[in-house]
Amino acid sequence: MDASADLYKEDDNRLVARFKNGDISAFNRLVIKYQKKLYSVVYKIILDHDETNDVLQDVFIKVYNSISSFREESGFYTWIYRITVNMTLNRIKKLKSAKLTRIEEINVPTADEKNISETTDNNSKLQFLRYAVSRLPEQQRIVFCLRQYEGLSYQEISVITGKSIGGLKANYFHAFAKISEIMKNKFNENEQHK
Amino acid sequence: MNNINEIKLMLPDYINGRLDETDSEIVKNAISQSEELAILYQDMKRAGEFITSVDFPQPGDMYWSGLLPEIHRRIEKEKTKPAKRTGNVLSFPYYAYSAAAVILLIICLWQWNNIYKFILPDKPVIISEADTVKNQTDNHNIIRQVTDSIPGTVEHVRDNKTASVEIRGKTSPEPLTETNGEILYDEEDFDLLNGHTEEDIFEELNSLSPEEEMKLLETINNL
Repeated sequence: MDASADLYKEDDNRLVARFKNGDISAFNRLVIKYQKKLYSVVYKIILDHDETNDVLQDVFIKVYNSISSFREESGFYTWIYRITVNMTLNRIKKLKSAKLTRIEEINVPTADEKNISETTDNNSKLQFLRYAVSRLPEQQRIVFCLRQYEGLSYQEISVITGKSIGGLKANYFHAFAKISEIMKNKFNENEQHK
Repeated sequence: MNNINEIKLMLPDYINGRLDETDSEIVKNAISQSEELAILYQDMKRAGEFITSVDFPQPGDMYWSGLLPEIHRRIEKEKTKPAKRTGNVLSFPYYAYSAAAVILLIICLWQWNNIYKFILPDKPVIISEADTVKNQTDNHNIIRQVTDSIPGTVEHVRDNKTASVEIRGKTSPEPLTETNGEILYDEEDFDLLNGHTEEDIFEELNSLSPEEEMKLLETINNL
């Protein structure tokens, strides 16, 4: 982990020790410290505010109830990240069959493919991304978001998910390729309908 | 030299600028030499630009100020709920039921014979009349074959008390009088003894019940 993570780690150790001794304010400080970061991670995977809110609360409740089982060898940051990823994975498994959106319902950007990033409103882009990401298998979705948005190294993702680095690279590639294929197919359809 | 599949795996990181100089050069050269890679790279690059252009909404301050109290409210609520079963197999109800099941199984295995008889008592075997006749004929043939094969050594003896017919060897040490029976015929002289013929013998055999026949067959088998 990098230098900033080391600073987090030192502060985290003190807070965790106080929390283990019954100091609830230490728990509150941990929540405030990680809430935005973890919200961002979860939201980019799930792409729904209400579901993200539920997962985030579940994560911190889990931390509250399980702090006594936390072994400080791995670092609190890694530990809470792992809890977050596992809970998010469980949630998207539940959501997978319930909330898949049909692409016909999505306001797919009609701009020319070459400049779609510049000319389309953010809501449409978000909607399309939500559709494309929902088509990914759960493992690819997690790896894609951790690598693409969080910029975590393959080593860090491997520690969090327990998967091999080679497998993670393949997951990332296939997720990326799948999203680009969906984009290409939809734009080709738009071109034919013009 | 990296093959095309290895290069493909590096494409997303190449697009996002995360490869070092050496690897970037390798990917760049591979793209220039392969049309397949070049097309894939262009498609993924457009997708990458699209993905990075999306702004993800952030909740407002009101959400953040309400999150911690909501977490504590849920924690308090869970504390007041009755403890739910964790499914731990070492907790009392689970190991008590499991132990009882194991003990019951041991008792059943120990007393299997008795239980089996209780559950499945002997049922009378119902044989159709046609089967009865066929069985009898088969049995008679067996008896006949056996007695034919050991001429001069067998006596067919009817026990007057039980009206059963017994086949026994002539060398049997038991005197005939003790069985209170009489020799029906002697294998060597069967056609002279009171006019008994094969037909007589079969008539005798036909008069036997299925149980008597089975007993007779058992005796023959034991000779």
